[in-house]
Amino acid sequence: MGLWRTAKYRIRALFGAERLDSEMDGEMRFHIEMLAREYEADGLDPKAAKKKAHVDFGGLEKMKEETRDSWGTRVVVDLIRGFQFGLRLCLRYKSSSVLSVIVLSIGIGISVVIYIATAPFLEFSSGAEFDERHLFLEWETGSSNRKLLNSHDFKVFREEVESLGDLIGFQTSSGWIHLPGERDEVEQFNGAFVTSNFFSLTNITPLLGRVFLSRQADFEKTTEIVISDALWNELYSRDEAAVGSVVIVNDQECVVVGVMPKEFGFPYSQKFWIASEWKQFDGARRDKIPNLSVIGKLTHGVSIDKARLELNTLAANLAVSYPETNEQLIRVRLSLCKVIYGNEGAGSILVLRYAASILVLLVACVNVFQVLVSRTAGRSHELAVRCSLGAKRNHIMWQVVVDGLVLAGLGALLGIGLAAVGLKVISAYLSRFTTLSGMFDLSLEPRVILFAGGAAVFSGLVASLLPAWRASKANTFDVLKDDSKSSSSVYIGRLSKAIVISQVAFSSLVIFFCLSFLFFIRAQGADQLELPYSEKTVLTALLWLGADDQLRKGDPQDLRQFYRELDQRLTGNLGVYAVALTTSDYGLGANGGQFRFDDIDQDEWRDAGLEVVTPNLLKVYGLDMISGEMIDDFDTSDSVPVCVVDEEFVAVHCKGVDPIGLRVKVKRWQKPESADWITIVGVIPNLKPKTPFPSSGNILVPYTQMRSWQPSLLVGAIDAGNSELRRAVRESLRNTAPSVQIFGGVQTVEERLGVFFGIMESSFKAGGVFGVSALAVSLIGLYSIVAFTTAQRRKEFGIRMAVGADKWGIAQTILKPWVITTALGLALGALLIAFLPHLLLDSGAGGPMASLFDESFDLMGLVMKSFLLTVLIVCFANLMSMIAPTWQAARVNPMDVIRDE
Amino acid sequence: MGNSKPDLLKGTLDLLILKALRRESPMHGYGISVMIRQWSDEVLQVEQGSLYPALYRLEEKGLIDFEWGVSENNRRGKFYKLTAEGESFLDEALANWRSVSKAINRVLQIG
Repeated sequence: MGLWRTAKYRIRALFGAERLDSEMDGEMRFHIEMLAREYEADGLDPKAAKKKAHVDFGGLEKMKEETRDSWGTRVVVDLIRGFQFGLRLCLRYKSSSVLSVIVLSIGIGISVVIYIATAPFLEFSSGAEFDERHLFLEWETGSSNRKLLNSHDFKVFREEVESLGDLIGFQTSSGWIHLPGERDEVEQFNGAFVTSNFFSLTNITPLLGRVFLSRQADFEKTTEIVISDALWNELYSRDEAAVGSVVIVNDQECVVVGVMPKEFGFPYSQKFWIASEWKQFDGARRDKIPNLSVIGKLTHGVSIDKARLELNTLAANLAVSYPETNEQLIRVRLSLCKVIYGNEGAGSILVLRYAASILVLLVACVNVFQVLVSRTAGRSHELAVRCSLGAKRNHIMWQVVVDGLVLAGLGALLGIGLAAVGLKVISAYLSRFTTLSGMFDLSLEPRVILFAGGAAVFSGLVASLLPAWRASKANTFDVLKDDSKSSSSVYIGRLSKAIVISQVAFSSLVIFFCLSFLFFIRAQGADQLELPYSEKTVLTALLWLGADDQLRKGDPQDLRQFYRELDQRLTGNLGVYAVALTTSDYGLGANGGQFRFDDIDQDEWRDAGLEVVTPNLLKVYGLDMISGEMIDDFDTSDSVPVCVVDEEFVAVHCKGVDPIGLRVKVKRWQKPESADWITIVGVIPNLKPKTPFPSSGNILVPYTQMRSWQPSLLVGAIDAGNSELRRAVRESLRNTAPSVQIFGGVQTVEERLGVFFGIMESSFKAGGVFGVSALAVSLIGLYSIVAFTTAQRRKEFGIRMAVGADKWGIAQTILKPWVITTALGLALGALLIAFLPHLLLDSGAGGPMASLFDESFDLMGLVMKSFLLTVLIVCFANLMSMIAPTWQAARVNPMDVIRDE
Repeated sequence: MGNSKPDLLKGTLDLLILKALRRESPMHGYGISVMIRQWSDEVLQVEQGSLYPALYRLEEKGLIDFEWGVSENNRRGKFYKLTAEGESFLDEALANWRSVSKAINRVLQIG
């Protein structure tokens, strides 16, 4: 009750201060009047009695202040008054306030964008909760390669093991999902087949319905599915009638039993989970059944070593029972789930996030610091008067700090607006080629506002504390004695000049890199890439074959069957004349590899692209062989290993020698070399666009002779951009292997290149915006300091002009020191610019970048061009920023100045 | 209140104000200071800078309440009175004061 009463009085004192003040005034005047009457009664005349009453009562205002202090609202009232004062200062110094707010809003806006953009990577959590007892089970392979348990082995372990609780098994897969009767609306989603105890991994409860019940006969009759919040939104528009309804997954009916909230997506942002016991594989060959991820929880009191011993014993029994599949699988690897499914990169991203934000804010703060130094120096007389009236040091400091905080607060408000616009632009660009765009939605959640507020406070304090401290240290007597309109009361120290120098250097560096990037893109002819075929006639899709359990096993027969079926479904329809698979991304990228010749320099491994392709590759592009033969259907895993090479390969590695008949061994990154020698049987045209980077050519091997999980599907058609054809490709994939996932949609080569150029263009624009921002921020700081110093020396210029100095002389006086300062900044920037390319380009010293560029590419020319243009831009921009204040000073009327005290 | 230490002053003044209001209620601030002065034979002079903060403090604690009234010279002013809570607080405070002052006197009288 006491607390409530106190709170009530504090609120009354805060919001009814005026009324309380008025009451207090009335009460005290009443007291004085009563006192005066008493003195009158003692014999004093009314006037003397009144005067004595006032004197004896004490200063009325002083008494009121002391009474107000007892209200307990002093801190809050002073804070509010401080910010009101800060706003009045902003209105008083309009132009510098506007410039500071713009600079701070850019800094805070960019920080907010960084914060939002890194949030998805930091906050990604599958929703599963693991402790030290949750273990991931797999076969020990002796290397980092993973070998999962198959569903039969899983069931044996589940029945027999005692050291781990009820084992959980799941198999990630993709599914083509639609509602009954809406087959045309089918879409592919990532999901998983899971055991019924799967959801024991989380404490998160479903939004609707339930999760799976324990293993019962019930779910043998109907297939139960739990869907994610995203899928519920997509299919049902969040209708609660979803629970109990039927949804079709890969042409199988499933009953929705529950909806999980968006916080749950284990293991990797899955959109659905289907209860399964993999009964359809009972009796099937052990090498033809699915592999499962298996998690178990250590029973209380059992050590991991004991669990491992038990599992290895069970594994040994399986090896005896099923030697054809399990002979080599005698040891089980146990790993902590926390490590397997943890967000390992979070720490680095967090550091990067805050480091980048602080860096950006510091750049903005430096400019506002310059503004506040100027403003505070201009207020030195006012602050000295305050000091002489009794203001304490912390009060003087607060006067300056509140100025900075108000500017930062306004900057934060504008910055959030800029961030919202910036994120919309980023989302719009990203949506052209990835689904990541949905990550960058700015919603004003409390944490975003908290971050922006924190950034504002940080900026305000950093920019204002030093000027505030300097202002509080000033000698009141000296300042008051000095005519504040003369230059002697102004102190622009070495610190301000050092800041100008570093800003000019920094903006020079940023502009240099932006220009270099622009020239590099133009030199690359990025908007004019030439291909030996028409970009409009090839449709592409990136596939993940590993999502299909059968294809994942890598049996060449399965892969052949997959390709043949796809080819049959597509070729001849809708103008399609050929279908091929290649491991080159969309047929455009190069896969790194190495090779060595049999007869020439046998031990020397050389670089070359290594691709795995199907026989119809050239038909897709409408091209012919240069020489020799193309690989075909007869080149299988049982026949002699063969390959073809492209013209670039011949030019680089076979100078003057006919490559046909030569033999090579190849190896991919981190893989062992091919077991057999591969014979080159043909030469094909170059299929990749020309770039400034040196190329070593490509070796193409048949898909039946080398395993690959992530090929690109290439469909050659007269009108590859036809929407019917795109649908036909998706439908064919769905019917051939529904679990195979498509990444990045189905697009023509022209569209893929458009995305690539779009990225380049966006990067250039982003770089340009950054460069212009850096330059603008630097110029604002320079302008502020020059404008202030010029204004302070107005009287001096007036006197000079009165005694004969001309406008040019005045202009020289103003510009000379700042031109020198700017030149020093440019020199520092030039040093940095000269140092970095030298480090990167000196291939003799092992510089990394030179070796990446083709010998014919004029890298030094590009650098010099960028450097010269940078110098011109920075000089011109800085000169412009000094022109306005110089012009104003040179036009000053001597008579006005001398007359004005 | 002359040369009394500030930390003693605050609690003692509250007690005196409550006692004065028990004696005569309602009463304005001036009247309270006069009464205290008269009772103490001019020894205790309540400073205005202490009186009004003390009155606000007591009001905030709920020990006193006020109403606006008109004085004998037709002037509008705040008139304070003791609340029921103030009455019981005063009783307890007086009992404590008597016990403490008795103990202090005993000590001071030794030797």
